[in-house]
Amino acid sequence: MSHILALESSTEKCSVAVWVNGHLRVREVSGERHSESLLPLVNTLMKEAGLSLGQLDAVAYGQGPGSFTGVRLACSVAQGLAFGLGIPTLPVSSLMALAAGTNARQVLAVLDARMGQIYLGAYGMIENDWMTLMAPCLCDPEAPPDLPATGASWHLVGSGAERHASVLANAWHLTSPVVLQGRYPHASQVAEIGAGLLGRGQGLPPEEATPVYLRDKVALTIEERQRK
Amino acid sequence: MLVLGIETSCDETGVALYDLKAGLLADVLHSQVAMHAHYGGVVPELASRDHVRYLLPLIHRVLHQAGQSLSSLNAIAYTAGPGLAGALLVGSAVAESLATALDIPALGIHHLEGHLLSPLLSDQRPEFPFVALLVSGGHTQFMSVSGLGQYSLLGETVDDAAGEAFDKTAHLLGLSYPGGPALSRLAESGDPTRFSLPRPMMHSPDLNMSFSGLKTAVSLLVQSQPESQRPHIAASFEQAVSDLLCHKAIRALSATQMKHLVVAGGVGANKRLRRELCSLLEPRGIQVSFPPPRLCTDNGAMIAFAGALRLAQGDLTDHQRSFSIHPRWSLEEYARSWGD
Ligand SMILES: Nc1ncnc2c1ncn2[C@@H]1O[C@H](COP(=O)(O)OP(=O)(O)OP(=O)(O)O)[C@@H](O)[C@H]1O
Ligand SMILES: [Mg+2]
Repeated sequence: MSHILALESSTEKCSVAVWVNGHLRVREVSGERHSESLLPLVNTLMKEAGLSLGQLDAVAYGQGPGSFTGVRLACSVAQGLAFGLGIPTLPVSSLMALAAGTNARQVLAVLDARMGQIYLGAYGMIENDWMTLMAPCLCDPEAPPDLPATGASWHLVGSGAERHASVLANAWHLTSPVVLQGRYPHASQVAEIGAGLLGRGQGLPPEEATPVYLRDKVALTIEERQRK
Repeated sequence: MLVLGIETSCDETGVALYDLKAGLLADVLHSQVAMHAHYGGVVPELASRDHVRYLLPLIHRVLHQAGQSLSSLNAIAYTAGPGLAGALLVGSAVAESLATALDIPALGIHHLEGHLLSPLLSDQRPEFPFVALLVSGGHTQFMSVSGLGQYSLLGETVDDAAGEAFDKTAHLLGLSYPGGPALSRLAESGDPTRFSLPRPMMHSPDLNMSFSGLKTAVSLLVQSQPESQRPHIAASFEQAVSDLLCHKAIRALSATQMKHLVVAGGVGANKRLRRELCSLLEPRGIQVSFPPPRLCTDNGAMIAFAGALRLAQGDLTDHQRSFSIHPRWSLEEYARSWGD
């Protein structure tokens, strides 16, 4: 038996899930103040599932990219719980979770990164497992990296895909791409992907659990300001 | 009663273990000062990123240093505000989640309560009641403290905080961020009587203070004087701040009829201020206490300590396991939340 708790708060939808041998139970909220809802959500969910925290084998979390504060929140809560319980953490890309929430087989997961940019990753379903075909990156929608040449057709999903659909289609010369609407990274997929990681022995000690931001330049140094 | 304390309100990640009987067992700090110095001030997003990286390794380290394990913790105290929202969030989330996992209480502490109580961590532990002078990067206040959670504001700065004045003045003198300690080193070789700087509001009948006019005066001096005068400018500035604070301290003690002054916050590390407060107040029968210099600036020890006192007083928040951070938070509001 393995039990996994999963947390995802990289976008305006915040969700938690428990995975008990392939069975999922979920809870979610949307809005602004995820920090106040995440932990109570975990407690409610565990109660509903009739589980105690001590029964968990690992804590999976959506590690981003996404809202800086959101990914830090999921990461911090995963760190605290896993450290206290003496179990590993399972970092899952929020873009892969977004892709895995679709029924498609080849997905471009795109989140709005603000400032006119996007977070982008390409994923494919290969032998019942989601694989990364193009590692997550931060880019301008007008100039995304070339798509991996796979032959199969692409589905686009996520806030960035919805917002920049035609620009992206142009850049990649896609004719009538399918853009799936209204999807967000969800803890259900974080749990499923996390279960795969745990099965392969890829859990990380909580102190090595980190968020993925992709945007690293967040301020100008004194020197950079003077050069301007 | 063993309490883990976590401080992440600004640019220092502080973690400590305090035991009600044995005292402070371990206290570690990761300072981000060097990183933010490249930017000329604290970059909130970078501060948060560092907290989430360093917090668990620091918790490991205090446990290791004290030879304790997670299972011996009785509570976790963390800074819930005021401070930078993103930075507070990391400490609160880790603390609340860890406490949930261990099934022990988590206590959200007010950062200034931590500072206010930090002098009680010194060897000669002052007794309540006392007047507290809190002089930090964000605050300059006189407070009457009659017990845990019994705080009333007597007066405060109407503009810049004293630490902020130190930092801005240091910047004018070409010193790098954070300027307080650098300015006071420069002042050591200067003559504090060389320039007469204004002492705004020194003689106002209340306990309020003002520091922003000082930096304007310094800026004029910097323009008109050769560079060789800078140590004297620094010393004269430091003297003016010290005079202002000493003068108001005397007034605060006589207004409250208290016999004890407790100084907390980063500027409390300033040697001139320490010397002058002692030499002016002690002859008047006033005892002056400072935290150990290391505990003047942000640290985990003061949060662990405040948490331990709260725990001992039986002040336990109902185990709600939800948490809210308070980037802006008055001590009065905080005290009410404890029912003080
Ligand atoms: N030796 C010194 N002389 C003068 N000022 C100093 C000295 N050492 C530190 N400071 C000043 O103390 C301030 C930092 O103190 P502290 O860390 O207590 O403030 P803070 O935590 O930023 O503010 P707050 O607690 O009000 O939010 C800075 O302004 C710094 O320049
Ligand atoms: Mg402080």
